Amino acid sequence: MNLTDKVTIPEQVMARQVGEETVILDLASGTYFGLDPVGARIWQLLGEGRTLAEVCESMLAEYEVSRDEIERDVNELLAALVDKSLIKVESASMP
Amino acid sequence: MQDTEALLCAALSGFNPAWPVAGDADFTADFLERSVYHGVQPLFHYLVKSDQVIALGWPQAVLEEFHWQAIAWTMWELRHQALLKQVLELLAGMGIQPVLFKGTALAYSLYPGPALRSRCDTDLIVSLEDRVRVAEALEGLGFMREASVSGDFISYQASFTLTEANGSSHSLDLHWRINNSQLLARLFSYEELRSRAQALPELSPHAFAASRVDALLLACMHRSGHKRSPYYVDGVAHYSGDRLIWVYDIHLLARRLTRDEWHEFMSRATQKSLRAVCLEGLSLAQTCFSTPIASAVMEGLARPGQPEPIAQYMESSAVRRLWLDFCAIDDWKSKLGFLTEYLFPPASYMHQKYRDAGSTWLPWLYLRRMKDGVIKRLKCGGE
Repeated sequence: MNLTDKVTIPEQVMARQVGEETVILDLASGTYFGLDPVGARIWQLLGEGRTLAEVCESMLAEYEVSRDEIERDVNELLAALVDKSLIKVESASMP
Repeated sequence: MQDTEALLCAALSGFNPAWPVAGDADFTADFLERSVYHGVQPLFHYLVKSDQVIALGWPQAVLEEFHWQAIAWTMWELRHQALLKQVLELLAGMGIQPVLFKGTALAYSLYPGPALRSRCDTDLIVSLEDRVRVAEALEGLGFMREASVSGDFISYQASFTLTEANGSSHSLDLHWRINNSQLLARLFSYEELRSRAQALPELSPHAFAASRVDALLLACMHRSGHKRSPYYVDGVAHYSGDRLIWVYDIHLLARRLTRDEWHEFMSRATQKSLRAVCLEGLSLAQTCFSTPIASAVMEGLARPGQPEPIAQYMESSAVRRLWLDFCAIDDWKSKLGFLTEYLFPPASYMHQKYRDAGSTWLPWLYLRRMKDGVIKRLKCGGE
C-alpha cells in the first residue's frame, strides 16, 4: 500500500461501539472485525475521508510513536481490512 | 427469585456481584440459558465491566458469550433498522403513520443503544382502514405474511417476515387493534395512541412511538398477559411475566416519567382498569432493579376498589378468557361471529396448519383441531 492511496468504506460496512470495543460490521456478509483503541482511531480518520498520509500524520501528532511504527500499524490494519473486504483501496496513480 | 435471576438482577443493577459457585458447569450453563430467556445478554454486556467481574470470579466463557451476543445483536439491529427505515418511508409516502410500541419503540427511546433491547420483531399499529394497504406494501417489499388465524373478531394482527440473502430474518407484527383479546383490544385504539405518540428521530424522521405513559401501561399489560399466553424462546413456550427485559423496560420507563406524567399514568390506569396490573409490574421492577417509585403512586395503585376485569382476565384459564372475551362483545350477531371464527378458522389457515395431515377434507380438519384443543385444555387443566 502507498501513502497516497485512497481508502473507501463500502456502504454496508459500519463501525459501532459494542461495550468497550469498536467493531466493524459488514451487514451484507456478516463479517465482524474488532478494533483496539488505536485501530478505532485509524478507522475514524479513514471514515472522515483522509488519505493514508493524512491518517499517519494525525496519528503521529496524537501518539508518542515513530513514523515507521505508525506506518507499519496502519499498513497492517489496512491489509487485514482489505483481506476481509471491509475497505477498498484505490491507487492514487489510477485514472 | 431463583439464584440465576438474582444474580442477573444484581449485575444489571450495577452491584457487581461475585460469581457464586466456582467451577460449577451446570450452574454456568443454566445461567447462560436463563440469560437468553430473559433477553438481557447485550444489556448485561453493556452495563457490566468485564475487568471488574472477572476479579469477582465470573467465568471467562460467560463474558465471552455475552460479548458475542452483543455483537450479533448489533449486527441484527443495523440490518433491522435499515429495513424499518425503508418500511416507514414507504408508508409515510402513502400517507400512513404507524405507531411503534413494545420492543422497538422502547429500544429507540429508552436504551443507550437500540441493540441493547433484544427482541425478535417490531410491533406497529395502524388504523383499521389502512391495514390492507400496509399489508400490500410490506408484501411489495418482499415480506411474507405468516399463516395465522384471521377474521373480524379472532385476530387483530398479522406477522410479516423478510429473510435476506445473508439469512438474516426480520419480522414485523402489524396490528390494527392493540391485542387479539376482545377485552384487551378495547383498552387502546390506534387513534388514541397516535394522538399522543412521540417522535423517534433516532430511528427515522417518519417513526413515532406510543407516549411514555402509554408505553408504561402497555409494558405492564404486556408482561402480565404472558402469564397465561405463551412467549416462545428458541421454539419453547414459556408462560410467565417475569422476563427481565420486560421488567427492565418498566424500570427505565418509570425512571423517565415526570411528575405530570405520573399523574397522567395514574389517571389512565384507573380509567382503563389497569391499576392492579400496573401495581404488579411496578412492584416487580422495584424487586428486581430497585426502581425508585413514589410511594403515593404505589399506594394509589393499591387502593382498594372494585375488582378489575383486566387483572382477572390475566389470571384466568384459556376457557375463562374465551368466556370473558365472549362477554365483552356487545351484540349477539358479533358474539355469533366470534364463536364461528373461533371454531372454524379460514380454510387457508387450516390447510396450512395441517399441511402434513393425511386428509385435506375441511370438516375432518376442523374435527381434528377441536380434538387437539380439548386434549390441550385437559392436559393443561384449562390453561
